[in-house]
Amino acid sequence: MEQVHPTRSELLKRKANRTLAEQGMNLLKRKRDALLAEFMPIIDETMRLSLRLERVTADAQFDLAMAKAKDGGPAVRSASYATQGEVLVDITGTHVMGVPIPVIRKGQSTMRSVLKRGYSITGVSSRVDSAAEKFEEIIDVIIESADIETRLRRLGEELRKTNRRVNALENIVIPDYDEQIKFIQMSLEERAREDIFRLKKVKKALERKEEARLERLKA
Amino acid sequence: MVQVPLKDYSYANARVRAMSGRLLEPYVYKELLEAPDYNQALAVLENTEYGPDIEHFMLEGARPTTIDRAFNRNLVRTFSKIKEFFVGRPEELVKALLSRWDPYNLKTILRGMRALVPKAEISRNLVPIGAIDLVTLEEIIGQPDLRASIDAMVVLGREWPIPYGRAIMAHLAQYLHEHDLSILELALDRFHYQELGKILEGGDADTALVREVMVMEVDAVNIATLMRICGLELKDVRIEGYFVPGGTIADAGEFAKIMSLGQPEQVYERLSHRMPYKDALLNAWKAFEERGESVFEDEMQKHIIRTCLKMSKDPLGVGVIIEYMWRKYLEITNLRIIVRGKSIGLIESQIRKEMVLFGEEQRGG
Repeated sequence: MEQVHPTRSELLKRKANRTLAEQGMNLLKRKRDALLAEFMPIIDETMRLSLRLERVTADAQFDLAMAKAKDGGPAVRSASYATQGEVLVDITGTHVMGVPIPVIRKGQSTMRSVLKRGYSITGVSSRVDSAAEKFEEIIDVIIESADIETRLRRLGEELRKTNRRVNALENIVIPDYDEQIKFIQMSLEERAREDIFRLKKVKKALERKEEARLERLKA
Repeated sequence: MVQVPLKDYSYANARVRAMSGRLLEPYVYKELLEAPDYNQALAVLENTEYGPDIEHFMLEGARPTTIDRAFNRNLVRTFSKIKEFFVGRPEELVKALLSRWDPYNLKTILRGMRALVPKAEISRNLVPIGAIDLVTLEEIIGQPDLRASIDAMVVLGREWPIPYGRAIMAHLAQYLHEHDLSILELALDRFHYQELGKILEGGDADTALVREVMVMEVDAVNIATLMRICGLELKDVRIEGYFVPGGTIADAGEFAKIMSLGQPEQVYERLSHRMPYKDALLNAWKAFEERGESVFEDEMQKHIIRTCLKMSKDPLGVGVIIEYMWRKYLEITNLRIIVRGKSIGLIESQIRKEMVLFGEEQRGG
């Protein structure tokens, strides 16, 4: 426990601080609940996207392997040179319970028509097309995942931070204040008792002095 | 012994029949399929005809990509050897059979140069078994940029049996305007079959046989194209541009007419009525719902292979060469499927399902 001066003003200050800490804790608890309400659906969405990504990736890898097997690796790599392109992503921002969160959106879908992949369809098999389509879908899902996972991570960090603060207030700061207040109160009461005792002693001494003076006068 | 190229098929066909003896026996496939993993399958392959090719690339690692290159090397080595057996018209016919690799190589160079792929990497993906040799292709790759490579194709192309530079020049302005490489690729594909058709015009029974192979290839391309793009929203697209000449479909007008039918079912019915591949198309249509348009390519490929494997009726004709080439191509395709399948952990039954004409070819061969 930190050095505490057991004075009345200190007691008032500690009590005010304790009330403030309690209010803060309640506010943070409400924030935590609100963050949790935002967080849980995002977990479900992340799980859904993660499963989708896993499935699409497995499909894409299988299609790629089969395209390489049936058309030959060189033919698939040759087609891949033609399909190079860029992925446009819009990044903006929003706030959830005061937490800044980036919003990542596809500039335009990465899914392209068979006629827009850069190679002539007369010279590239539809197996390659199928693999290309699946990999384009992977990019789409990755962009969606990037958005949702960033949201999840940011909210998770904030939730952890808020929880830590609530726990610190609930288990450390407020009990500390309670202890300090109790200590000051006890010290003040002790001091009051000592004062009463001393006053009683003084009173008795004065009474004895008075009695002696009265006896002297009688004599 | 000095090898004497001949103008007839007796000597060459004898050599090719000897080469057929080196095609893999059914027990090798059995061992490959039963191999518990990729490395065991590789160990089986190392003891076959493909051993030296695998060894050649082994220093680069035993990944499926490297093994692919070993198969590629074997294919190039084998088919190049066949080309050396001939002079005169038989040589022209063999070159015609192998010429489909020329537009593939040129397209690979165009794509690679445009995407700024390292020159060595472009070179690794070439299959130099057509009329354009590796030295010429590397000369084109060695140019500083795409435009210079195109110029090289035009200049060097004057010497090639099919002067692809003409097709490129005819569409260069459009490419420079739209920056869409598929314009040049489409031009190359169309020009290739158009010119090949001229080379294979008239002639004897052997020429007719090679022409039959070419017609089937063109039909397979046109069928696949129609099935892939029918049902798509095609704004500002000239359907006729995707027509490859030289097959059963008479002209671009007929192609566009079939395409205008719109839905896959109608296009299939029209094709089935118009093309001499009723069974192949019916098989493809049955699996279309489940497996998509690639099934048309698969079935047409099977049809071409089946037909070509029956072309060796005349022991002194080009049919023997055609049969061997397709048997070899089929062998390499199936080996690639086994190797890839093992590398991604497919079980034997799954690999067998993906293999091309496996059981059938084994029984027939």
